[in-house]
Amino acid sequence: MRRTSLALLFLFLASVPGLGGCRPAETPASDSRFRAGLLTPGPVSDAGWNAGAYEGLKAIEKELGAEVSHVQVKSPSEFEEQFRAYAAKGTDVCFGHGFEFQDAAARVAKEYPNTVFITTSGSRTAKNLAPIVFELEEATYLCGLAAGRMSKSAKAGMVSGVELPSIKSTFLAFEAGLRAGNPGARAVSVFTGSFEDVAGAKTATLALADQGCDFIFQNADAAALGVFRAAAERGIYTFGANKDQNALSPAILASAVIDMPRAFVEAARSVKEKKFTGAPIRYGLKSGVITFVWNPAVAGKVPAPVLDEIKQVEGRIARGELKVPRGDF
Amino acid sequence: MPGILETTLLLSVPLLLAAAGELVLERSGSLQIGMEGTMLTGAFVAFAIVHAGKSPGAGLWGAVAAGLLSGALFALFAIVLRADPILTGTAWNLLAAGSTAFGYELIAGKTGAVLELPSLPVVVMGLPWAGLAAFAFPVILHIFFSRTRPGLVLGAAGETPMAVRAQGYSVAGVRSLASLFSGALSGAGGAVLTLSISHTFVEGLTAGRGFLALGIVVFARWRPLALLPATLLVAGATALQYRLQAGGSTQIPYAVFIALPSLLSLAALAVATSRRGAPKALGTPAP
Repeated sequence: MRRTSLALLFLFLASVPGLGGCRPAETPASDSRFRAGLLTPGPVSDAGWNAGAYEGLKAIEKELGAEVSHVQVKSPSEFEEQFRAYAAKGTDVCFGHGFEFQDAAARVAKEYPNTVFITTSGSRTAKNLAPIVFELEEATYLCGLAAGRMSKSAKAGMVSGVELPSIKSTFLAFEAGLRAGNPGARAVSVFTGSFEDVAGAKTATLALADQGCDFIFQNADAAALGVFRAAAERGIYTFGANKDQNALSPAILASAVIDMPRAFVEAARSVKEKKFTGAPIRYGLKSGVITFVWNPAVAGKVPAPVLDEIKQVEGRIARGELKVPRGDF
Repeated sequence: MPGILETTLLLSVPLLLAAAGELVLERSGSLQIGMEGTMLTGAFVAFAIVHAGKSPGAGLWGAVAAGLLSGALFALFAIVLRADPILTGTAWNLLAAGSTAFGYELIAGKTGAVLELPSLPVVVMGLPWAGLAAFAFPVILHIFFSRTRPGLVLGAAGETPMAVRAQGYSVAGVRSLASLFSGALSGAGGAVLTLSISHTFVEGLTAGRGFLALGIVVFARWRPLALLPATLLVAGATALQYRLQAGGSTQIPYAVFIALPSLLSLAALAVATSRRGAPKALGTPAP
């Protein structure tokens, strides 16, 4: 008896907020305020995909005077549980940050018609459910184009954790851009199985460099730090993704950026003003939410014709004259 | 293939350190499944110390100290107070995951900044001296268990604890010492992961390496010398699978490559000739 209760006491200590594995959603204080919740699949300290979402949430708090709450979830079983917890507390809009949240959101949306569920990427819709589709592919295509024009080995690598459809799609567009820049160029992808395994992503990048890749695209969240480090060690270029990561390393040639605060605030505002319709919300280069940003630290190293071409192609994509391939999901 | 040997050796170090510590603890009859948490704690403490401006060496020793503390904590709950070791280890993993995430947030801010850390100085083959020590441990432990009196007593605590007690030793005391040693090595493993491999810290940085080390101990059938081939096989298969993926010539799903280290370990275990089993008193409370 004593053995078990002691261990249970220890387990209880581990579940204390701030100490334990997961932080529960904070209880709302007032009833009339607009409330927003966010579920991220990884730590918001990744300086990328998840950090952007958290900044989006904070922007909702600031610009809409909302009461906000964030929780990091690990497994699909937690997705549904946490959506339900938010909805039961009367959250007005609940964001699930990624393609992997759409099934859970669709199930919970049926049970809680008064809460709007928004997944960042995905395709499922309902009266109170819609995805924000970031057409990041339009910017990763430009990354590929730059790599295709500048790569000496005509070989590029792509690194991520898990082959999610949304990630595969950014790879597809990168590869298309690469081929547009150099029809003979080839891209290889490596997956590490984890978005937190920095050591794994670094090892993967070193392996790609050893295969002759001199440009590495990544969509690996926190693990991207390993990609940046390895690229710097080998003197090759890499790209930032989802957030402007240019300041993180001089090995980053450019970033494919999502202005998540703007997208999150716009979506939350439509919910607050009762204008939400359940239609997918799309953002591409044209909207300005998606941008391609050269790293100022390496600006001098990009040949002028490449700079010009990227600018021109960027315009053609924004005007709808050039359709960038994207995954079907 | 250039670099694959160095990569294998470097990836082996955290696994080898954690597995060597756990082997000693398990041979003494206790079982800590919370090495993932201890490694993560060591990784974080090393990060925090180096980020505060101290040398990577200080970071490593700080991680060892943090590991000693977690070893003491485990000894207190699971050995002295006889709490269920599996529950204690699970709780420790949760506590470490949460508190390192919280600590990182305090240092780096909510949405984090990337902080590149200086590395431990490289001695040979891309390895810091702690890495070389990691490769010496299996040999030292082999001699310890087969040739020294403390080694024999420690091993006996895991096989026939009553006999050890009859000799006038405290079984709980022996196991607590083993827990301190195990914690220190796991902490050092985490520090190497931060300072020599990742050069930064993120939440959940260890990505399951503590559990992998737990498997390596079983794979080595609790024999110190067998830790070397077991770890090298797992780390080598990891390094190899990245290269196979990077080769990009096949249509094999990447999940198969990621599973390669585990598949190879299972295969090796199936054909292994050693009949040595787990210590007989493994996981039982000290008499």
